[in-house]
Amino acid sequence: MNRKILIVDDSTTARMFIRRCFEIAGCWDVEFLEAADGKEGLEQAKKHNVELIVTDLNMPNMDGTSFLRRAKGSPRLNPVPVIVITSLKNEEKVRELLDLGAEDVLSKPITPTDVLETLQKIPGWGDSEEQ
Amino acid sequence: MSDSRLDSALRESFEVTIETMAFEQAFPLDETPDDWQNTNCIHTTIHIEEPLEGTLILIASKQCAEEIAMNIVGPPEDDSPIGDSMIADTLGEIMNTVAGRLMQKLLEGSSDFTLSLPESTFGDCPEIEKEFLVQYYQLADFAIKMVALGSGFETLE
Repeated sequence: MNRKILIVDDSTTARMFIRRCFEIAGCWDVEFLEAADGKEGLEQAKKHNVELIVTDLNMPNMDGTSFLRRAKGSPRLNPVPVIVITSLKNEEKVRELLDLGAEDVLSKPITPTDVLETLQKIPGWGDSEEQ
Repeated sequence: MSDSRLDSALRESFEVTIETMAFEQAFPLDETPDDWQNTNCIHTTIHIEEPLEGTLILIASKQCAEEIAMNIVGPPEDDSPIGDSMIADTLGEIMNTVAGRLMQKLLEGSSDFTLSLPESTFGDCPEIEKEFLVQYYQLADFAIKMVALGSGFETLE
């Protein structure tokens, strides 16, 4: 069964672009799930057995920080690595997100190289070709 | 104005975003293009809300915006024209990325900032008052206009 990555972003374009970057970085044998905000993201993450979550910060309904806090507060979702991809990156925000449990914080626009470097830091995702 | 921090940071932010996302090179133009028109456009606006107040507006012809969206998301599977909502979404994501990168550069990555959600409108572009900075770019066969306005930007100069 394919591993599942959940992409949470209110922009369809961003979700497609992020997915393409992950595919180029080696995640082609992966099922991608999508959600348009944090609320939908939590529902999807709980419903499906996702193994990696990628989230934006600036979203309507439930923003990425609240989503991350809720995901890390859930015993079921807590072990799932979360990568934040945002246009709002700064030192203070990065510290806050890492303290909340984010695996890494990437700045938009991301590249496949950024994704590859981040995946290499996450146990179980280091060599995407062998997943 | 052309040597200002805002001018160079905005130019770099736009060029990198377009090259990374749309695989196109945006070439800055020194003057308003002769054939520039404010009709049948899409204008996408994003507001910087903190720590300064400013607004960025991207104005492009519908055809130009379609090309950019097609480069990023690809053509629809049934070969139909790309829809307005996807075009608006694409330009919104570009402006979100440009504004974020711009603010990271202007604040040197050290301070928190907030952005509004981007909004896109199709039609003739309204007259924009109190433009603080105007840039034009050539993107493949099209010209594109970027405007910065708001008192917050003045404090940076």
